[in-house]
Amino acid sequence: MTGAARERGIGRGIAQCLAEEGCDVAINDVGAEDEGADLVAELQRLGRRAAFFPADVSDRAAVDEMIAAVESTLGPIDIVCSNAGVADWQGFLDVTEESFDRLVSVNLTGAFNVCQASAAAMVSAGRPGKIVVTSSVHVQMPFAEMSVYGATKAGLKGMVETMAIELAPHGITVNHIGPGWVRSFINDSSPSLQTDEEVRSTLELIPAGRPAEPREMGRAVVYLSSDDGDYVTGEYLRVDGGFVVGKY
Amino acid sequence: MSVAIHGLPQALADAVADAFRADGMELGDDADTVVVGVETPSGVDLLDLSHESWDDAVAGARSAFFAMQQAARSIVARGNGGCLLVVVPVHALRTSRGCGPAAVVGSFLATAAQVAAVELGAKGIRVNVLAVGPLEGEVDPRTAEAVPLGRLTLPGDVGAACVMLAGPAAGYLSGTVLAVDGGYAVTKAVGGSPFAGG
Repeated sequence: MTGAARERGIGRGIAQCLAEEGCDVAINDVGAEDEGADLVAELQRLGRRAAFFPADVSDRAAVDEMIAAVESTLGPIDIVCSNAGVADWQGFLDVTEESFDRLVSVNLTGAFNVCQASAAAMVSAGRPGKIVVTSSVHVQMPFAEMSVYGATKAGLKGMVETMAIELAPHGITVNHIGPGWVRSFINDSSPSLQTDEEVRSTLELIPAGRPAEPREMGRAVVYLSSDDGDYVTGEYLRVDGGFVVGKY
Repeated sequence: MSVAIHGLPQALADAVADAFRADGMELGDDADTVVVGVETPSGVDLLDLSHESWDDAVAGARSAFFAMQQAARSIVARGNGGCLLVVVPVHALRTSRGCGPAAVVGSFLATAAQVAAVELGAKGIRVNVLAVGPLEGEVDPRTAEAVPLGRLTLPGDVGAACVMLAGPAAGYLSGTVLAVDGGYAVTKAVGGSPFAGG
């Protein structure tokens, strides 16, 4: 479970839901050691085995080491949640090379590193598995000032759909969830959510009339990674309170 | 009126240039129509794709993105409006086995182009995407069986579509993704079910 340690993060909500369903959980993040330790303790109180594995997903060698360490500590990996991601808000004409490289290396190459390495471990062991990637409503909805972020999420769609085809013979399903506005730390710096009026305006775009909680992403991941989702692969499951409906 | 071409595979670049010349446009650096494309590796499952090949694909996307940005900046500076055409593989719309890098990079650039269309419309810049079907000479000829029009994509098909999207007939088109693929993207004749083995 990558990008899972931070308080008010989608990854943390997913990890909590998977643990409640009986999964032992490997928590990955960059930094956030204290929050990671708190989450590990929380999951252990549920009776699950859990451990924190700090690693930068954009570093392929670090990812390989992490996958080996997870299997050594907790056993073979059955479910992979590639969730680590970062966002920036810049106009298209002003996107810097530094920002481009940061977003692409984490959101896209990081996801590829994690999914490829863990799929290789599953195939090598001859075990079926589930891969769930966190993409975004940006897969369908282009947002101004988020060209690179949206592009990375669309790239994930291409990766997930291709992996779904290629890994199905190995008994591995690959899907992605599309969070809309989640009450998570990544949206704290969104320029469109800084004032009460901006929040009200954004809520008016969401039929459900509220943002999601991180755990609601977790419930979607539980479905896709459970037996109930055995025949679901290459799918995009939006969890957005209807945000996209009527727009795209 | 002039056109610049960046990053297209040579056969496509030549065909696009020929089509624009036939339409009376010249190639030049200070262009108001800029065609941006990318080459991607194919034929390898993502499970087996080398890190170097992945990095090459990402580098291609990066080069195309900043070529779009530079072209847009130049057009804005001249103040007369213009047109960006982003040429991606059809796998952005319909992926298949061994086409992961094309699906990833194509989807990436198509979405980047659509965001650019949102932001640049008020500056008089139209941005559109061409999703190019399997090219003759580059894929198994039997792939044509999956194309409703019964043949593979020719470079001239792409050139003609570029001229159309750059011209007055497309003056109200922006942010669209035009499949230049003989209908390949909408048929499921090959590779319809991953559970059936691709």
